[in-house]
Amino acid sequence: MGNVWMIIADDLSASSVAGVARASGREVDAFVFGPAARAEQVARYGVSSVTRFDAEAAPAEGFAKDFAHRALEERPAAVVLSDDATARVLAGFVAAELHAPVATSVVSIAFDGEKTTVEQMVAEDAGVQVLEATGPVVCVVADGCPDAEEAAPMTVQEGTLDSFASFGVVSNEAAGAGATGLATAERVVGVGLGIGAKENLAMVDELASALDAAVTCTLPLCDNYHWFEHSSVVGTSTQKISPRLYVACGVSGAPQHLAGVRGAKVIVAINNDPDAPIFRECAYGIVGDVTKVLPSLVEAIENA
Amino acid sequence: MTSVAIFKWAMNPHDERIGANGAIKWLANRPEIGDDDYLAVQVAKDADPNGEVVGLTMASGDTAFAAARGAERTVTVEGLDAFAQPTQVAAALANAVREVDGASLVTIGDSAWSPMTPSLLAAYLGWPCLLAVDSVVPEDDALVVTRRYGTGTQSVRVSGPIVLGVAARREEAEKPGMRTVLQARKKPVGKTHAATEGSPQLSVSGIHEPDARPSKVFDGADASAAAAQLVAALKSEGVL
Repeated sequence: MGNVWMIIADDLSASSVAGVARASGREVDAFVFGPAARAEQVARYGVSSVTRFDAEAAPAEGFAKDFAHRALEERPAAVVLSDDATARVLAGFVAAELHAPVATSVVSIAFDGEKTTVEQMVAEDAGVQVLEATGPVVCVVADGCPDAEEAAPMTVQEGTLDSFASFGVVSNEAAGAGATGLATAERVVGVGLGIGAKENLAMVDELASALDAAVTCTLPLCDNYHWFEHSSVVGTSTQKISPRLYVACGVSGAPQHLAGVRGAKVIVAINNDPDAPIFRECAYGIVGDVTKVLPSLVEAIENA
Repeated sequence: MTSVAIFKWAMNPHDERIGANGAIKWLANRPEIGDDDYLAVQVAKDADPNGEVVGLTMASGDTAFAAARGAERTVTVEGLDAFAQPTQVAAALANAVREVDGASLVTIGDSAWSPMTPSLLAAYLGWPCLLAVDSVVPEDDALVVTRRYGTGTQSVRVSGPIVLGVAARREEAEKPGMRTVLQARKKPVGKTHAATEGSPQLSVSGIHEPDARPSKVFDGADASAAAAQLVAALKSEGVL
């Protein structure tokens, strides 16, 4: 019986990927591409082994063939990953080498002998589809899955792989200040069209200040109204965030935006439309005029 | 250089519903134009402004999308169910790419609708792959590919055949006009049969409702009371 492999090439979702991998009941081998600090963090997620591959000098995508050959030798029971771009390239080659099917939006994996059972979210999270295959399955984990419980850290092993691609890094460009803050923020306040007017953004800033939070927005506030820089937008076509708290102010909950915030541990929605899709995704909500709720919320936080 | 720009290849998951009988039903029966498809064609053109761009699609119906944006001809892949699994779609696309003489670049939307298909396509072709690509610039006999990386971007020099998963940050600024589309419909369209034999697949054994999400919604008619209730709840969650 092979172990479950997890491929980690980003910092945002390693814990939830590990959570799904460990819940399968199998031993978990972690393969981390990137800085040592990332590998050391993954080593605390209760995995059986951690192997790190340096991807500083050459893009990790070049290792895909060699990594897939290793998978063919060791025959993992399943391979789990987030939807990070580098991890998906590596997993695609593993799937091809193992002749394995792939599933996305996966929330659980189970094994019964050679049979692998996978549960995936479907129909915009309205249902859970149960899928089966004989042998390994490559699984892209759904956003927002529970985190792995931390355990005593494992020793990180350094690994090497050969690159089959003619890649050379020309330059790395840092993001705008807004995006950098969003990626690491513990709390984020989001604003959508329901805020009504540009002058109401001051209320959002006050809430963000009270929460010590970063501010993000939906795509229309950037593209159509030009109230925010593009680096402040969260959604499918921009960036994903995974703060502990996300407060959506006047955000209806378009799929494009929700895909970017589902990694948040607690989602709060404030909107005057009780039928807004955001209320199907949130843990807590207030149905009301956002311009009346926000000052009260700031006051309540400051008095807490 | 001959480039293949893939468009209209994935079903839109927003059309997926759970029917009254508990089974999945779709509001559409064919792939749709994806948000990234226009940029896939643009990047193929940018890679070699003097080269040939071949449009490749899984769809039926109007197949002039790439031709209207500069592709010289279009190939449609026929015979594959619209709801085929990513391994099948990627296998069919890989086979169709192999049939394009001299193709050394494939551009495809790095679609959230089917996030594994681009890398599977690359793996089946045996070509390197980069995803989340913003743009390309030709440089001598290579390409400098700029892609999203971490919280910023990274530029990578690549040479040789490659699959690029292109991710648009914005909607298409200037869509082709009706005259351009009508002219594009006169460009050559070829057909190829989807070859997916032996593709690994998952079988569906059931569907059930997700665990109820614990959601607490407060009435904001009394904003102060609602705010106080929310703050108390967030403190108990440990996020304040």
